[in-house]
Amino acid sequence: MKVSVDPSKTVRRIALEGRLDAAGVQAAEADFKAAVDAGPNVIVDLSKVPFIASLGIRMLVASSQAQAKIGGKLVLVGPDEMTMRVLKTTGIDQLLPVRSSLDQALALF
Amino acid sequence: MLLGPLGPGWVDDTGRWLQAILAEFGLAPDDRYRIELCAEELATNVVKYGGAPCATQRIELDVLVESDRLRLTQVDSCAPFDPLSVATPPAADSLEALQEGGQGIHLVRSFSDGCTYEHHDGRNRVELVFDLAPPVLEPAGAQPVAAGPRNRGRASAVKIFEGVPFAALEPVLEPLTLLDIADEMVLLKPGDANHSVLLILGGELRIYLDQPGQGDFIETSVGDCVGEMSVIDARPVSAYVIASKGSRLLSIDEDTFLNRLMAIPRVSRNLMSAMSERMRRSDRLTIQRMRRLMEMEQARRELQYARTIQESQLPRAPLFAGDARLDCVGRMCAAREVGGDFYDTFFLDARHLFVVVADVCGKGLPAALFMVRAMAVLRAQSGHQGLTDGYIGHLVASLNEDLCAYNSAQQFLTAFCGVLDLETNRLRYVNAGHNPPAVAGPDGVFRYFGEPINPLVGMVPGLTFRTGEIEFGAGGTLVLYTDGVTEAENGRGGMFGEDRLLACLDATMNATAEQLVDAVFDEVRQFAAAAEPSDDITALVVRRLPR
Repeated sequence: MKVSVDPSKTVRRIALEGRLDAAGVQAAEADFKAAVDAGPNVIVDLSKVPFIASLGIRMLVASSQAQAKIGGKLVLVGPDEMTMRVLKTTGIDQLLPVRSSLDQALALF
Repeated sequence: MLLGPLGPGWVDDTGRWLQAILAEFGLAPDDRYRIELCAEELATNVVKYGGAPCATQRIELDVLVESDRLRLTQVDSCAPFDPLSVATPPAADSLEALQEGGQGIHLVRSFSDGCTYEHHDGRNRVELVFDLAPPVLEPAGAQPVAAGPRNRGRASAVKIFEGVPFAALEPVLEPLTLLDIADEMVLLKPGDANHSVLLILGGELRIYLDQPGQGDFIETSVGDCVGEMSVIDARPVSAYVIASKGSRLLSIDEDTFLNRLMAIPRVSRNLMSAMSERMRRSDRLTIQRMRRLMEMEQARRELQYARTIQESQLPRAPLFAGDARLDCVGRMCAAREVGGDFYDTFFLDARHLFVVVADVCGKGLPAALFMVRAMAVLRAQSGHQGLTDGYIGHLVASLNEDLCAYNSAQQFLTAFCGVLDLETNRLRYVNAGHNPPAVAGPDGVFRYFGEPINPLVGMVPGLTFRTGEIEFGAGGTLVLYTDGVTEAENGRGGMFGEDRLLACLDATMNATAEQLVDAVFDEVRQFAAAAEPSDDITALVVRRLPR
């Protein structure tokens, strides 16, 4: 599980790479939280996440709440079809923006 | 089947195990995704609601593939709990509501094609069914593999099936359960009822006859089996069986084992020879243990004997009984069976009394051997020179020469030696690196003395030893001791110390030599309390009785 940040753009991009299962969340959580908390507005790239379960969703939701608190916004981008199904099943797609492409995500800021 | 203890590790274990298993089946990626998702949610759920982590609380996960469907079952022995009874959460309307959880079972329901729960035999059992999409051929050309026969085929290669035709075994082994075991899982423990024989197909199991994880164990590896004894004699398990890393077992139920496998003559013969081999191994272990114990017992007896010999070397009370001039008592208490301290006292002629207290470096037998030698040399040399003023200095110098001469182990000692002239009341002494003795006049007030201090004895040849002299007349008391007294520890970093010794001596007005020695030893014992004595403790008290 890898967390990488690209702060050079107008909106920070955090790319997750790897499975967001129990082990993946445990490995990534601290780095991810630190990256999200660095400032308002962030795009989280899920295009290299081949699997997500409820612990992963919980991590994303917590980060989105943290963003809301500092007046920012968290946008998910690029989930694959199955991951999108999981996001829809839990209703997360109703509560935070999910976009398929980076341009669409950037348009929200 | 994966078998593991209840604890947070279960979620990771199931994830790893399932990914490996599902990769063998050549399922469509979406099917793999949803099976892994549902299994993770079930695992997370049992860890969250199953109670405190517990090594003997087992969870099992099994996967069964049929032609177009897959069944996944999780069985646990925790308190009855039907995860499916958890109501589907209403569509979350805020992030806070989503954070509350309850999504796991909702995901399981949504991504499986059927789920059932039952509580049976004290176990919770959740079964999920997945209708499978047609298998996808991976680009690498991997073919879907039927899991059962291939894995059990490996079983036919192990020792107890040696020389048995594959065709005779295959139908017997085919329906048996394959178990993957979480590391360090306790599989069996004494008193358990056991109804299956576990055949090791991968990894290792450790058998502990005594305490789990402690002391000797019998190692078993691929091809060995465990549990066969309790299945054969229908009695409870007698040992702990713990899985080492990456154990894979074939669980052979009682009926199959006794009625079908044992019916194959070659198998029962193989089993008997495996059991004989194990018995031999266990015998060897037992004999080794016994031998070690006997050797230790022998050594202990010899040390006890050595202690008796050592004690009998030291002059014992009553010393100089009937001599109206003196009241004298010595005592040595070894930290171990034998010690390196000694004291000695005897008359050189009618008016000259010789006294010595010494402490050999180190403890135990090596120190005791050196102590015996030093004591013998002193006694032998003490008569060789005239009783001039230089006598005691010469005596210690010649002890030093003798001990330096044959001393490959580089041992040495500290000593306080003196000669008391009962006519002139002068005590002439040599202090060779020893603790300062205490002396009191008729007023009973003690003070330390002992200058000048010389080097240790036995280290450097050719030394001369400077002497000192004090007045020690009628009514006076002389107390010689070793550092076992003043350096006694109380286990909390505190040391007895010279001040405490002086206070203890001052508190004993008009005491006899015996009472003084008792007082010192009692005080040290009280101070050290529960702490192990770290050094030999010795004291020699000489009182000059008033005329």
